Amino acid sequence: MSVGSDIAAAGTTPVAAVEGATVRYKTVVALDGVHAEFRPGTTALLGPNGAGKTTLLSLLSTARRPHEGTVSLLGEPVGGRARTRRVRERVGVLPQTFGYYPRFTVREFVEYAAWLRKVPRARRVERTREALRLVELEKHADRRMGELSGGMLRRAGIAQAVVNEPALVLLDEPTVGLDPAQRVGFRGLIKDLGERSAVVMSTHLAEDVAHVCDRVHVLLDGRMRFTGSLGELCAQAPGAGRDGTAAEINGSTVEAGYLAVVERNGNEDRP
Amino acid sequence: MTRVLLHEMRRGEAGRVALLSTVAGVWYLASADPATSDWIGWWNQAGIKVQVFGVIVMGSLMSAAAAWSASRSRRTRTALWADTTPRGGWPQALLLWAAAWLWSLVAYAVMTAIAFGRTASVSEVTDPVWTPLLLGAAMTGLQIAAGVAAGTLLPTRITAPVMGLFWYALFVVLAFAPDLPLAHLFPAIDDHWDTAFRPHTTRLLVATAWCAAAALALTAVPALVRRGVPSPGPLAVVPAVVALVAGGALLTFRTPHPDPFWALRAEQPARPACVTEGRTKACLWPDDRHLLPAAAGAARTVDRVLGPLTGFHRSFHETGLRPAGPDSAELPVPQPVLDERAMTELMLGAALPKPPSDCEPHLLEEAGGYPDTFLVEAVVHSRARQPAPYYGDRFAAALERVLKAPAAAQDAWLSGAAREIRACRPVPPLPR
Repeated sequence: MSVGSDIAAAGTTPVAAVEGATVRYKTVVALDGVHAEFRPGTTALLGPNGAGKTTLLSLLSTARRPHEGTVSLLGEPVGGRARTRRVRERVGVLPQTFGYYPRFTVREFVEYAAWLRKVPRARRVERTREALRLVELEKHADRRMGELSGGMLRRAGIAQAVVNEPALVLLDEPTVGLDPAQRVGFRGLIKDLGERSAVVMSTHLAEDVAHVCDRVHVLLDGRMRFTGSLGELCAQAPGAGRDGTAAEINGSTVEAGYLAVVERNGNEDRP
Repeated sequence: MTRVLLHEMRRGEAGRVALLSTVAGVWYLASADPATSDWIGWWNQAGIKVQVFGVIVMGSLMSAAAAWSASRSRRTRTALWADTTPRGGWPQALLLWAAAWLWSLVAYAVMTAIAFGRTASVSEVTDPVWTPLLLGAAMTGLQIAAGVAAGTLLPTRITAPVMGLFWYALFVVLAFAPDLPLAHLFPAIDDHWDTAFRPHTTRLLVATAWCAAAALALTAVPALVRRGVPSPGPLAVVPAVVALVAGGALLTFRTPHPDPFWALRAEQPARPACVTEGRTKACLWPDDRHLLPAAAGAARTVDRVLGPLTGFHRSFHETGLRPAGPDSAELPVPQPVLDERAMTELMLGAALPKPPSDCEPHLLEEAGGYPDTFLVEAVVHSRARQPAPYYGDRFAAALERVLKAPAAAQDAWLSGAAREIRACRPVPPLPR
């Protein structure tokens, strides 16, 4: 993949932004004055365990509010019951551990998610069908959720997250637990999503980032240590061209760039 | 919401628990023997029977099922994404509540159909009472709402069985302390309403409003506490206020002892159902007209047994009915199905002369020291070829002596005994 395409894919208007966000769990600071913007396209959140990726996603999903700083979604600051509801109608979330009701069929479950996401009643059936088509689960729509394989479950998870045509899709470690073939298929799906919405994907897997993402944020110890395009991340690696234009973008170069960011900031954890 | 509700009903646990409740309820109601039942034939009692079973057994089970369903979002970790959706916590709880409640209504309807069907097969009137059933349905809704609230707020595996046991234990406690005001807020109407009573419609409807409003208010509570889900709007105040008003009213209602809280004495009928045989007349509540053939046979026997005797009652009115005359005796009818033999026994018992209420019993030495009224009763029953109780050899000998006396002497002794008993004096010497 060439470096130029990632920058071109990134839009200009931020769909979501956090300004100086700080979140604490008792005495632990999970996020420490984080600034970040998320634009149309697919953005990776990279960082070791405990870096604050899931906490940042929870801010973007409005599940949590920062102790300090602000979060803006779709052009307005989050806060207040009515505004939060309105914003949530345009957000889709797939958590790292995707919970589902095993006795529901896939179609019923996605319809239930459409109800939760306040898809208008007249469009609920149609949107469910569309979401299942997008994730290629139409043939399995009448199977029970409990009968699905891990890859199918992840697809069903994506379907529930996009059934409301969200402007912002939040995916927390979406490819964890998938076999290599499933992961390859899943990358294509996420890339497609990035063409419709702003996708923010937290991950440990440099290979996924290389194939799917346009931009990268690196979080370390609750602080944002890097923000830029994939090419710019790869260019952080020792020996790479500083402008990134000469670097090949693949799993190895993404990992090398990430490690360079980590080492520069004194953290030895690997993605 | 309809499709989602149907999905929830089809896939949730409530349907299976409702099926279990239905099977238990059908067995309970269908296996009852009309000969010994205290409800088959009385519409009041049939309604109460369904209400009590619905609330104590089905309500407890459905509350447990609702708690189990409500705790699944934690169990299955769906809360991780469901709590980021715009749908408020109240509608989410209402969805679970409605699914379980609708299933319970289906079960309730089946049980009602059986109870009323069996009653219709006995009773000659069609007068089903609906208000106790309405209250039962609302109370079940309250129990289910409590299950949803508990399961959402305490999403552990033990919450569901605890909720089921909680309701069952509560009703057991209230059964032993029916005068507790709390019993009015959690009504399981374990009363005996024969045809002399009718439902206290106002109270039952106020209680229905309380249960329904409290159920709705209760389903809003988890959304107030759950972090992440949008909280209920001001609309949630409406059921809370209705529940407060209706619940407060229930706690202030007073009933003179020993009248039941949930029933009123029925108005006197314009035309009681009466039979007359010779000089003997018996009047029943119109709802008990299916008992008229048995009452007619019993009246014939009583008329024959009493013959020319004086001092005995020959006019009878069923409990609660206005006496037809000054000498009319109350005829208790303990159950809706009685054969002629049982009715005769009741009527003979009612025909006996009654001593004044403050009269001490007169013990009859010749009858083994038992009260003389016992001997009069035994003689009357023996004349009707009804079994007389055995109180020992001396009592049996005294009885034999009266029965072997010439008819005129026996009649004279019985008439004299009736006169003395009413005057609170010892009976005359036994005939020679």
